[in-house]
Amino acid sequence: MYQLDSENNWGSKHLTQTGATVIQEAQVVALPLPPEASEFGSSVLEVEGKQQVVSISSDRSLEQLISYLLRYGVLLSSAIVLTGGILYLMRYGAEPADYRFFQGEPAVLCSPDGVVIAALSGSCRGFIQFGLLLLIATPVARVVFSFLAFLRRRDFAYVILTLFVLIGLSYSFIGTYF
Amino acid sequence: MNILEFSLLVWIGSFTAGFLGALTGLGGGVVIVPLLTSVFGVDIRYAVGASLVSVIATSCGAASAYIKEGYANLRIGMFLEVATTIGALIGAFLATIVSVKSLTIVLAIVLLYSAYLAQRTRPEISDELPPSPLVTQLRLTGTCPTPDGLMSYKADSVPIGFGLMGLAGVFSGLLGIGSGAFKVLAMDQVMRLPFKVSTTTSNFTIGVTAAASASVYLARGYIDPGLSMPVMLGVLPGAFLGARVLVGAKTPILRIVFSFVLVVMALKMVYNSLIGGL
Repeated sequence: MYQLDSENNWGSKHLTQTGATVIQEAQVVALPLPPEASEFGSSVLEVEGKQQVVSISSDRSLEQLISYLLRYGVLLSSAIVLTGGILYLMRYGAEPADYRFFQGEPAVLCSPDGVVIAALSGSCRGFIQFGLLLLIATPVARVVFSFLAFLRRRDFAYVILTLFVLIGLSYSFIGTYF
Repeated sequence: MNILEFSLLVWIGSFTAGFLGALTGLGGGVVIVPLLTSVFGVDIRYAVGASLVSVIATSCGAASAYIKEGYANLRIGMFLEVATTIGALIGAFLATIVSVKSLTIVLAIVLLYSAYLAQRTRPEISDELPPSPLVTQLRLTGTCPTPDGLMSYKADSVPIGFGLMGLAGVFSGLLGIGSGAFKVLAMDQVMRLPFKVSTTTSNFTIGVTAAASASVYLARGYIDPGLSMPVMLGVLPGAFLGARVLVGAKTPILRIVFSFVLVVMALKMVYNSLIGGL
């Protein structure tokens, strides 16, 4: 053991000596340092690559969410339209269809709040119209959702772009009803 | 014809409209308006209202599939929506000044020309030029599935494409139609995106363009629930089917279908403006 210890000591001494020589070697051979530096550089590149992968995969998850939003928005609204449609056909199916002359819709079916009132009062035409409103709201909801998603990810270029589209949409809505 | 029979027939026609609309990126309105006015004798205002509903239904239904499959490019779509929104607002303003009838002829000529342009085959591989700073900044790049695996692409000539999209918005604000054709043209011919990416991204954005004019149509009483119900319920399964077919379809065939629909649309517009329709 003692011998071993002494050997170890010796060994460590030897190690430091070799360590020193390594350092010396490293000092002498200064040229091999650039590869080390480039190694460091490549790890930075790797990090950047990872960041890109992360942003692409989060782009992918945003795409998934938007795809679901559109799908379920359109399926929900068509379920409502279908229900209202069946009731409508049961009630008025045998009456003659006439769309040759434009009469416009009753005022209650021409504004979002009126449609909600009509749907709640049990009118099947109001119910269909409510489903159609949900359908129209689906792409708008998609813009709102992407605006919030880009805001959360601090992707400010797209925050501004989606906000602009939202302002355009609201402008047309406000211009019509107010 | 009673309401039940009428609804069934309109449902079948709308199914076709949704199918073609999803496949070409033009939206269901291309088929719905002439179908309702010429075949069923529906007043143009009701037809336009139902067409608006069909465009949104096609857009949402098909786009959900196209995004999932990796064809539609969200960033390019959202970037170009800005141009269409500005254009639509300008168009709505111009509608009070410009004669719509003379404009219809101009649009018909442009449609015929774009039908011709869409037939010019070009390699669907992006060139070696580095992307412009704008493209890098806004990340207007992507990959799309092809039979030979994923192909990466980037947007070219973004300012011109953006301008053409603005024009698409002006026309849709003025006439309520024709925006889909311009959108596909801008992305396919100017920004040099793959054809399937162009049509699917157009599909993704036409919903928002239509929603922008929805409140006007609703307020004027153009959206009739009895008429829009079979239209929407027909267009949606048609759009889902169209989205499935597009994935497997060969691009040259899609181009032919696209051009064919454009030519019919243009002839119909010339006919209407001579007879006195829209």
